[in-house]
Amino acid sequence: MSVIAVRELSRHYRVRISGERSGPRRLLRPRLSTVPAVQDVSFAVDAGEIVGFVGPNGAGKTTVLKCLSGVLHPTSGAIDVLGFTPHQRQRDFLKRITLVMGQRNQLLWDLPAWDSFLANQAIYSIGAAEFRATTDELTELLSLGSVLHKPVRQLSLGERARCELAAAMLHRPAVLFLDEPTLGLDFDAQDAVRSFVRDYVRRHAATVLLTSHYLDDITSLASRVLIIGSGRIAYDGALGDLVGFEHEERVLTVQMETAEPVTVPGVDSLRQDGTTVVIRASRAEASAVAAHILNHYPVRDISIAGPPLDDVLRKKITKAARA
Amino acid sequence: MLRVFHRDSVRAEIAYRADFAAGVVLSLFWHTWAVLGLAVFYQFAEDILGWTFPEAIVVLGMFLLMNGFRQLIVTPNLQQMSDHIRLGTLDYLLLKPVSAQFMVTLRRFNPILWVDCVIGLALALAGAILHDGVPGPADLLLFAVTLAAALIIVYALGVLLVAVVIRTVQAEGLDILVRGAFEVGRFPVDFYGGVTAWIFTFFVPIALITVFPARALLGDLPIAAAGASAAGAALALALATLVWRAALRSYEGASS
Amino acid sequence: MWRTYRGLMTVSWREAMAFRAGLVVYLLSTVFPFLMMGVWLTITRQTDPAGLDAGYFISYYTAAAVVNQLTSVWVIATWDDEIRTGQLSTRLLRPRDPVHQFLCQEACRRALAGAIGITALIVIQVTVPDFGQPRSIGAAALAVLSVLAAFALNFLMQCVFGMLAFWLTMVRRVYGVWIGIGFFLSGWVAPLDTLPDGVRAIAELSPFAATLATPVYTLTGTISGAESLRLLGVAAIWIVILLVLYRALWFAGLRRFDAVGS
Repeated sequence: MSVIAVRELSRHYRVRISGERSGPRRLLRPRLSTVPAVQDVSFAVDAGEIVGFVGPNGAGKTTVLKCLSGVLHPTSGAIDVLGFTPHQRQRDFLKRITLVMGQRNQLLWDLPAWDSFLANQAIYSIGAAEFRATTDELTELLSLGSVLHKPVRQLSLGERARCELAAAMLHRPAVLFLDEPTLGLDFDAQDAVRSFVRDYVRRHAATVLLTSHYLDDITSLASRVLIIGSGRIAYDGALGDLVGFEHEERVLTVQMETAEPVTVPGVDSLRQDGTTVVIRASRAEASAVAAHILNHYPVRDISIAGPPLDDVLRKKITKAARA
Repeated sequence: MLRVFHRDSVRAEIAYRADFAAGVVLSLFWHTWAVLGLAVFYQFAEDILGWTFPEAIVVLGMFLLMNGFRQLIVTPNLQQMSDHIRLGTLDYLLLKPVSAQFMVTLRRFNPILWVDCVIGLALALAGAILHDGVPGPADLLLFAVTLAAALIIVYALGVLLVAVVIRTVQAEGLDILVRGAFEVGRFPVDFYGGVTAWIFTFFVPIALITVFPARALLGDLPIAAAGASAAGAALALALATLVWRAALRSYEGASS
Repeated sequence: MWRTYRGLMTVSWREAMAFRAGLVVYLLSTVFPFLMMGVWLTITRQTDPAGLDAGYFISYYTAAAVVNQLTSVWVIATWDDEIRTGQLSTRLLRPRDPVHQFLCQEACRRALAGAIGITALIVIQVTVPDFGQPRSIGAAALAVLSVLAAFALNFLMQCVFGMLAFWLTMVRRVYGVWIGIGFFLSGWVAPLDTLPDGVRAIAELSPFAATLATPVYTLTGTISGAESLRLLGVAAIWIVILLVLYRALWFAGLRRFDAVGS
């Protein structure tokens, strides 16, 4: 039984064309053009699945997520989530889903995150006992502890992102739409978000549709991938087939204390811009390279990540479009 | 570079052409109301504390000019700074090879406010002509000096506020406070009587940026006062720069 | 619904206590009426405008300061930001209309801002017999009612203009013009008593008089009970009109928000 079923979903936007000539008539009746953001997209997701939803910027990922969560009406096609039609925005539907958008702030800025939780408790009509149990669980899973009682403005970006996530999960949604949940976070915070999603799904058999630009998000969480390109589904299947040797490459980003030139023996893909050093290395070499830099240079911060998905995806999409 | 920044802002605004056209109309409307508001008081008296209606109009024009200029450069950059701190993007800005002060205080413009400035100036000139005919070259020179000083003071205020936002993060309260303080300059400050007039002449130099240029235009500003306003501008700019540097030193960066 | 409001009010109250910009708004809404009073007192030293004396202006603008504290909401900024930046879409995911939370926030901020002012006003009215005050319990009740009506009118007017953010990028400036008209018709620049009869009649039929002049007059006991009821009746009609307009624009705006897809 699928939790999410999408059939031939299309979504068009009307945009105003700024013409050469303007005048009062143009102002009153601007020339509109219709831009298809999503075209004939169909797929289904079963309960307990974590599906990675990937594609280059502007491919229509966010549009699909917004249609699925009821923020946008589809232009045509049918959507069924948990037996509801999302855009009717029934209260019972909204209480069972959540949409997390990275770098969107829904917490009250001047107050501790705890107070935002209380506001959400009121809005979602969560009973006292259930609220206590959920907040205990979220505090543990996201290791929030003392963070909850400091004003949000004093939190670091990573702490804030964890609180945002907790606030979006208070009503224990059965379906999670995560739109770039790790955007702009450092390595530790990304990791915390990932392990949270994994644990939550295991405990509550929740269903997740996740978009991300970080390959690691997708590979560590999803077992199945949907690739969308130019508003169409280009690939739907297991992750294994998709990620071949490309995933073997690692990108090291190092923030140096000084702008002193860095050299690593045996590595020629090194680019340096002031105090920022970027190195591409194979998965096997990556840790040796990191160790060399840490031993020989003053380092402020170092991170290791897979290559940006865009390159991998673009190849896949063009291939799929040809097939 | 300044031209590029300004062009960016103009483009952003032109994209909403209907809004821009409406903005001009709104400005005109709003300025008419400002004159009417002053006229309410002059319904009951020929002159108030020696200020005739045309003289008070000159002050009002200067107020509208300065208030427009404040919203043109101070308000948008203040908001921008708040966003920088909140999202942690100030770090990127500080990496750019240009003066950081320049980057944060003149990055954004609100070009629609040029209209306010022009109308304000026109109103001030009209008031002066109504009062005493076209001002002579000496008066215009003094006016130019005091006007330039006033604009510099407003810019310095912007730098100061942006520095304060580094600590307070929120810009909204500050902007409202400054808008309120400016609003006082709508009338010649002695209208308020007693301590208030004194405060806004010496403590918060609203008089310096509205009444001084207005008096210069009306031809009764002593040369010494023009000198004082130029000195005041230099002092304000120096002070603001110092505060900005101190704020930057104390900036801890947005921890990730 | 009742439980939702109780929860939201608790949080909003804490938020109001921590709202630092609130202190500034508070100071200004308090100081400005006294500046206007200063100008009018300067004029009364030269002449007596419309036959009114210094005492009239003192009690008028003191009461105006308190009314300002209790009713100067700023929900238009909230709507404008939420709609333009697309933050609203996050709120639309929740099973309650966002307006409930905004209403709680504004109500708590105003109550906090006005607490000292209203106490001070009552103390002055009790200790200074000449100072304008309601003459009976009934008149006092009408004063309370008119303050509530002023809050409701301000809130709804800003909601109506805030909704325009679905179509325009500059609703605060548009609202500025509306409020600019209000400067004259609400009795802010000059008490309605100083205006020509025709203008005064227009003012009393507009929604503006009820946002300042009516509560000030009822608080200072300047007008009779019958007169207060008449002005409150006009306010009630405007409240209904604005409410209907706001809801209509809200639903139209949601469709539009959807079409552009923020």
